[in-house]
Amino acid sequence: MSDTLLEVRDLVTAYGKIEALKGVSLQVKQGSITCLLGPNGAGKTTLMMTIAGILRARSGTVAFAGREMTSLRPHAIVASGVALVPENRLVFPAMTVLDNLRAGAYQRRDDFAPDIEKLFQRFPRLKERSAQLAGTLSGGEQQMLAVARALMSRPKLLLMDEPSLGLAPLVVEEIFRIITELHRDGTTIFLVEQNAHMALKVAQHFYLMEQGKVTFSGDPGSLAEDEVIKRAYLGSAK
Amino acid sequence: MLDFLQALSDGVLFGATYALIGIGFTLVFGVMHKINMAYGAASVGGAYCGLLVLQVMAGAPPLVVFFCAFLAGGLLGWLVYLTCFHFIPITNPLATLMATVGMLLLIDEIIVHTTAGMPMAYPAMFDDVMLRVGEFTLRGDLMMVFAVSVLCMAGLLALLYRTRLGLATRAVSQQTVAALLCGIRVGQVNATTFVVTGLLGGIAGAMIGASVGTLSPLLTTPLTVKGLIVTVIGGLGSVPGAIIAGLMVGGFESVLQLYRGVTERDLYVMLLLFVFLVFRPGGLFAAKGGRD
Ligand SMILES: Nc1ncnc2c1ncn2[C@@H]1O[C@H](COP(=O)(O)OP(=O)(O)O)[C@@H](O)[C@H]1O
Ligand SMILES: [Mg+2]
Repeated sequence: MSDTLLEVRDLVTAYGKIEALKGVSLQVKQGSITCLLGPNGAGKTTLMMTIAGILRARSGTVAFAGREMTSLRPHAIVASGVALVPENRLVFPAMTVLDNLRAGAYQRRDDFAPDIEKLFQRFPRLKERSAQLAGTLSGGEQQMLAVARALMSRPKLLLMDEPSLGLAPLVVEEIFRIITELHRDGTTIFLVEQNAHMALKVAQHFYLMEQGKVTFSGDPGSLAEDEVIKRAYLGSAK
Repeated sequence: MLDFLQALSDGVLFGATYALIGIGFTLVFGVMHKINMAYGAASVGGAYCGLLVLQVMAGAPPLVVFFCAFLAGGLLGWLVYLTCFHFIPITNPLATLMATVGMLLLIDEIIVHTTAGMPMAYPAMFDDVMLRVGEFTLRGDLMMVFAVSVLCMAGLLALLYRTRLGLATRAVSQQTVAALLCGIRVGQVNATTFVVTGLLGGIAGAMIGASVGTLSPLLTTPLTVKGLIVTVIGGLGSVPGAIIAGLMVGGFESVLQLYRGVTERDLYVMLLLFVFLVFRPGGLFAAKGGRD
């Protein structure tokens, strides 16, 4: 399939003896917003960390734009055009907002000042606080910063791990507005969410994951939303 | 009163070398959350390597000796990284610690064997200069030590806060996973940190040699202990903390040496550490936005 940007096949990742991913296969189409839902502990973060190269897969493959990248180190994965907005944001707390963005552009040798200007237009709050230490930002602002930092590497594929976690409803709405904007501007997005309602509104395709396995794959209309939500929060046994 | 001021100023000037050693410990801790126990010994080792120049080129100017100590310190730092960190499992908290203790003993032994345990004279600059204000004097060599140390600290701060490498170093120390996600090669940053701290250590060792006038293998243990004390008082991982704590410990021990003698003074330095551990266990600057 030529329009598949990310292809994950039979991926197994373990912490010691415990397999958190037990053979995960899924695809993210070029230009789509694809969403991964699932209860806590399903292995969503483990999958994201494995794609980004932070965790090593025990077996299986990850291919990006037709190129095998399972054995690549994180810096090579970033260089090939994949960026992850990690769970819990993980901003550099004692660095200024501006330095956080500079760190996001670490691999770039070209002039990235225009990118910062563009991001400041998209996130005016970050511009106001550009000289402030990231650790002093509110949760929502830190999330914006984490997204902006990831965008500094100009990714073709943006991975987002629960960007709405712990944020007020208004801020969640803003995050989703930004997600749709980024998508409209041509970035492919693979989104992990707990907020199934919002996620199903923006996604073209979604997967359900439970206990380290993909248990459902379909379009947002293909399964009644309350059924999705039930399974996303509680797993299939309820 | 004059005696007190004299001891204090001499001590603070000399304390700049402690500050450098403290910075070395604290920077490695900040970046890797590991203690490099070999650091004090490697610093003294670097200073000894500076003396090798005099073997090759008798009568070489002190500046050349210092510069060679600086370079040798950096090389030793890199060797310590390779032997004690690069191939050792990082996840085991004791493995690297024990490896660096082993390295400390090894460097110590090498120094003892090559010098037959005898102190060696160390060159200084401006040791014939004395700045007098009434009875109060400022020793030229101590001022040189202070100036060189401050220059190195300024260079380090510029490196940390003005360069791409510094940005990466701060990123790794604050949030290693996010640094990886930004495409920063953490292994390279770790190795560079060891080289940079090694360079500082080499110069610190040379400055100690220059202000004392001799270098002796007996230096490594007290320097390691002082360095760790400075690191803890300054706050683990804090560079400004290490600088202030270094100057403070230098002044403090010099004043107590004046009133209580050289044999007792280290006791009071320990007491100072004790006071900090009880009343301000995080140190002067508890690591902001630390790891957890
Ligand atoms: N660092 C770790 N060490 C051991 N087990 C872990 C670790 N991180 C996650 N796990 C386990 O792996 C499984 C999947 O976790 P995770 O990927 O975080 O799930 P999710 O993001 O879907 O909530 C869980 O059972 C969790 O307990
Ligand atoms: Mg998770």
